Amino acid sequence: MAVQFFRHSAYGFEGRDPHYAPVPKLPDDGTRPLLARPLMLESLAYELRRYRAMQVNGRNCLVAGPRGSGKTTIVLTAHEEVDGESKAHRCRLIRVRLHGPSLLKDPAGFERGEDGIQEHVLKTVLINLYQTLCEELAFEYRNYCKTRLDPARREDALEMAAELRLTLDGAPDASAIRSFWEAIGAMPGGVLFPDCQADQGAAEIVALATASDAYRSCTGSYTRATTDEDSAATATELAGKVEAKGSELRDLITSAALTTGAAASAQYAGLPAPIVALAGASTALLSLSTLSYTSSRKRAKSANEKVTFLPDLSVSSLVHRAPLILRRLRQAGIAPVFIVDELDKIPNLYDRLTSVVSHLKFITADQAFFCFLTDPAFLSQLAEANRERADVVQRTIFTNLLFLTYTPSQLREYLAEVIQIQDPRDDKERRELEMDAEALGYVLVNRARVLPFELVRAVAELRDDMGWLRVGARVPRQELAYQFHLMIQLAIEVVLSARFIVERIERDLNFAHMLGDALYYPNSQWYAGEQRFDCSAKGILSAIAASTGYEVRLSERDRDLLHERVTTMLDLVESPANLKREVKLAVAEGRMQVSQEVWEAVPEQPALVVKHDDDTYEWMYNRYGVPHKSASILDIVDNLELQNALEGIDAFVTGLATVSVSSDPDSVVQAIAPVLEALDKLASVQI
Amino acid sequence: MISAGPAILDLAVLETWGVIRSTTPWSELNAARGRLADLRDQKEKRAYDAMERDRDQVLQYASLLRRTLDTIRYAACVAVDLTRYATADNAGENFGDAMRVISESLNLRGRDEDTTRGELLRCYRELFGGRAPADSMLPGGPFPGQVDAWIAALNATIAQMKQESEQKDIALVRQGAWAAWQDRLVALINDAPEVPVDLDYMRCRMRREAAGTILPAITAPLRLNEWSDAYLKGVQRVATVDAGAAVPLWFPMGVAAILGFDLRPDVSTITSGVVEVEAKGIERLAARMPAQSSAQRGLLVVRVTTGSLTDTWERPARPLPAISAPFETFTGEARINWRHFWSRVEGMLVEVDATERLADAAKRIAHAQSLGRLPTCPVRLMTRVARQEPLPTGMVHVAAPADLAAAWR
Repeated sequence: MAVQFFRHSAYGFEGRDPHYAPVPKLPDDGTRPLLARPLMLESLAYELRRYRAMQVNGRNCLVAGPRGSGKTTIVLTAHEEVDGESKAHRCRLIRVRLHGPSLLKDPAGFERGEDGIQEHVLKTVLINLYQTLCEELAFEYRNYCKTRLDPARREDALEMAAELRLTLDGAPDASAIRSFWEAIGAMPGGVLFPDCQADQGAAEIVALATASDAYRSCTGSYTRATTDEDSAATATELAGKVEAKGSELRDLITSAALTTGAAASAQYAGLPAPIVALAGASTALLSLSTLSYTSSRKRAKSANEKVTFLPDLSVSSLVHRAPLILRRLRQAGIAPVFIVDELDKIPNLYDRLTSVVSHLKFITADQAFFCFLTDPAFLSQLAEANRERADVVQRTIFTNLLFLTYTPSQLREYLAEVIQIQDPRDDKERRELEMDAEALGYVLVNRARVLPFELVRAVAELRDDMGWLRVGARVPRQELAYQFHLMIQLAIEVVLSARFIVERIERDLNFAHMLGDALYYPNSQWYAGEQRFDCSAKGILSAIAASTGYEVRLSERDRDLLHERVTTMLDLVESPANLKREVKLAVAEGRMQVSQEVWEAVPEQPALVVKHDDDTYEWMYNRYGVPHKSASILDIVDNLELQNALEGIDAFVTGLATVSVSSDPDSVVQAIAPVLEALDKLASVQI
Repeated sequence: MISAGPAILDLAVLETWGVIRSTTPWSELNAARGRLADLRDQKEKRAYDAMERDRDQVLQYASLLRRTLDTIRYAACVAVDLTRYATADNAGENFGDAMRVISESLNLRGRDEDTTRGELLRCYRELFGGRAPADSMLPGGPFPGQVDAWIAALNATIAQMKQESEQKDIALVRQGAWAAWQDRLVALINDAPEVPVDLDYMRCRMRREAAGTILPAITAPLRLNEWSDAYLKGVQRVATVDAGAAVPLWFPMGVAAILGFDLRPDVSTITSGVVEVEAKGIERLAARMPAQSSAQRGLLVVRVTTGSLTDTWERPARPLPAISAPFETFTGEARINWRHFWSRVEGMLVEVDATERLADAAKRIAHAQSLGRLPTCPVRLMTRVARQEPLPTGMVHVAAPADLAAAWR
């Protein structure tokens, strides 16, 4: 089959076997490709643009979606798209990844009550924020060195950039940071947007230093008392050394003490041993410098006054400092986007997350952009809470509820994009191959149960060692395994295409998700090898609860609707002739778009599913198109004893009818003539 | 010559008349065969729910056929013999009737596989006069391949039977049947083992003659009313030239003995005025009864015509002889002569219909007694349910007695 996946040119059309098609290769960098563009992506990107443009100070987004639906990919894609759109905004969106279970699973913190939770969450947020910030700024610092400095200074400056990265691990104070910025001449314009503003450099140092302070508070027991007068003198001496040229700096660093823990951090960062040694020394040395060193005005002031400043660096003060840090980051053109992932692995998530988010809403919604990635259970529980009471706190803690869901047609659009017909012999063959490809789209979407992750896997299952698709021509429309998938998917889409369902899905994400789960519940049973399954309303909901791990919460009316839709779908599968008629009607009414050659490929025999009286259905074939009870069938079809019995009974029935049971002498003579003749030949039969 | 009707031996007929008895009815098995054949022929094999059950049923049925091949052969031969005594012109009808007669006579539908085989074998041997063909026509090997041979052998056996066992004269058949009946009655009177059903009985039954219809040949289950009715049929003198309808006089005397009444003291009275053959028959029977005669008096049960509560009553035990009859048999034109009983009646049980008042029943009985149609003796009125009605003086009422003893206690 000349169906080719062209997106990855490594898999070109081989041309040897016209029945094979290449399959796209997954990216080597471990990221997941964006297979389709769900509506949610646009919503998220829109909110990120507003945040970047400072039209909103922050957003608190709940991003819900089933496992494998690509929540993380979608959030990362939205970030990349918005961040890369324009440099004109003087704003950098930085991604701060937070591991959900680490953020919310702190037994010690939770034991200390709400304050403990709040403290733990704040510490985790700020630690990750600082580390991400360091990465971003160190990266941009290095870029600055590479692109802005003349070649004569570039070598030393790049060493300086490495030095900065290691120094930042030790959470340096402002003066140390400033010395780095000054060393490369980034003090006025900064490293992030060097062409934009004169005070950008100072804003970057302020932001970084503020975050560094918070980081120190979060990661260790640390207090500081500063006497400006003493430090000013010391700083004068040191600053002169910092301003020295690169070669002098190297000498200075070599002579410094090699006792700090930054070495370990550098080693962790994968740097060579000499650089690691350098890191330890420089951290110790540069942390002694101050931001006020070059200011003669401040220096004079410090000479006249003895000021003792004891800043509150306790963890408890983070509540007050966190908004400050975030504001200073925004002032420096840095807009953090926090992505809290893996939340579906936390038991009792609903209570924990709503508690934490409601307590920290002043940060999560008002000062930064937060994305909480959960499974649909959370959304379901939230919807339930909203249904029950109008004044629940959970109603307002999330500014945006985003549900990641794909429609079958979205995934098929992707498949249509990556599958193309190549080198058909004539128009007729082109048409046939197009129909094969279209049918294959339905098959793959059904196998994937509309989950992108599963779609990748479903495609991979069809891929051979050479990267070609193991699907022969006409196979998607002629082999039972494919035809059954096609049939089920068409039935699902017919059911989903009903006007009232389309409207309901559009305005009720939670119901949409439940309906999707319910309609693919028989599919799950099919894939699990369960022959007979309960399709009562209770049975459907129980099965969904068992597979997803959460209890389905729906009103009684919606339960009935769900049940009705599932049984309607199964009845269509049970009666393929009706299914074809419904598809034809849906196509005529514009509710579905499917080629006639595709829906006509639905087989009317054999029956895939059979309905029983007790609201249960039974799959007659497995997902590979093999009949269930195939062993029993073989036992029957190949059973010699049974064949003998059947043939024997047949012969008996036929033979008895020929027995002369009439007492008429003439008929007896007539009847026994051939018998007597036959008896002569049957010497072995004793009479 | 008999017309060539659809004389068909098939498994449905054999099952209907109890010759073969499968746990799976033939109609169901046929459906199972169809499903299995479909499964075998399907290109895409489709499993179905009852697949294994169908397989097991077919295997069991085939096994049953193997076991009952001889039984079928015996039944087929006996049935063909019986068709020779049939009165209808249609061969198919005659064969079906013959199968029914075999089944009813031998009570095949109430018997197990082995007993059925044994009963049919006995009849089959009787047919061949002890020179019956050997059994075991299928010593082993593939079943289907042997069926043709077996069918051929069956046809040959039937042909052989027709040649070796000639059709008997009907007078001899009748004579043989009545002789067997006398043996049967004597055995019962003497508490001897039951005399088995004989071919002549079945042949008479085939012709609907008295010897084949007066009573079922298997007498053990017969009850009071069935024996009493046989007595009534025996003593009713019908003006007919049909010898097949006549019942010899010794037969009611034997039946009376089975009901507990010994009529031998009246033999001379009974035989006076009858033809010699009848008289000899009576004397022969009297001679075969127990030597000591019984003077035990018994009960006369006057029952209602339909739905009598006495229908379930067992044959009376010796100490309390009894005979039952509808009231109409004591009155009207068709009344029989009860004179041999009057002196042997100790009391009378009169069943009263639900629509009749007890007083009216008492009046009716008294009137019949006054005319000499009923004996003058103590009377008890029986009803199916208890009644709170005034009774004539001296009259006793008993409600829903379970048996004879309970009614006369």
